[in-house]
Amino acid sequence: MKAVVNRILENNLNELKGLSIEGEIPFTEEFLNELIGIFLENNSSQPTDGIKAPASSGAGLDISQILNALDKKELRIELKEKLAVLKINAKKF
Amino acid sequence: MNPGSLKKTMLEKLQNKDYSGIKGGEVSFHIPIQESLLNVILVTSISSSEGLKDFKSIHFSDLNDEEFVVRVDHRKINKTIRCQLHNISYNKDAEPLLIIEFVEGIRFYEKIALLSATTFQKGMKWFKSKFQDEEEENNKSKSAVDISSSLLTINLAQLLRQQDLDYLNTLITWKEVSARENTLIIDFNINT
Repeated sequence: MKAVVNRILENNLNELKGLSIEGEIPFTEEFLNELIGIFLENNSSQPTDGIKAPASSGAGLDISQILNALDKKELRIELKEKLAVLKINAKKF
Repeated sequence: MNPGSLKKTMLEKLQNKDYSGIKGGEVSFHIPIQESLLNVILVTSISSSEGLKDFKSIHFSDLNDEEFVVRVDHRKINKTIRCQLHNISYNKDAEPLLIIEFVEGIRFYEKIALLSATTFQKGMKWFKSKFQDEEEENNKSKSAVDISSSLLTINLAQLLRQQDLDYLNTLITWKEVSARENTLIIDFNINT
């Protein structure tokens, strides 16, 4: 099936014209914070011994370097009343 | 955010049927597959699927008004058949079934030959299954396609199981599979 997926992508989704994906996925505060936790963990665990990680762009910040340099890392999202909702509206014309 | 780790977390959650934190999600998919792509998928499936090894080729054309023409080159039959798509129905295990009716192109004696061949295959599968211990492996190897003299029934739940996508079966609500403007259109919802 990889060959099929490659063909679809190489043809820029032109054989799926009219494709439509629409909807909403609500994220709870707890789950958003779980994702942030994974983000922090992954960026902290990247090796930096003697190797300077390349910046994503010339002027970009190397966020993993900054995170590694910090002694305390706490980042939380608090939502008031409403859930965060990921809205999806993707189409191929 | 590292997209790899996010993808892994989401996938693990869905595979473990843990929808906490994302409950109430509803996403609708409308996937029109053009005839050319559909035939590429079939060529790939024939070369990689054990269940389709008796087919030399399957070629779809003229997909319109819920009907299509399929040219089948099978060990038992080499024909051009006009087929009609029916609404998705459910079997006794509440598994979704896509039913395709052979409208024209198969003569009576060919139907009988096809039916006797598939009945024999089903019998052999049942016989083999009695000697297999692992139920899970047995479930996975069960054919997703059932042919009778006038119908081709595709078990969509089994199709996903065979692609190691069983976790999607609890999330997907199948709406319709239709044929219009030389395109096969698949509509389904994913609900969490």
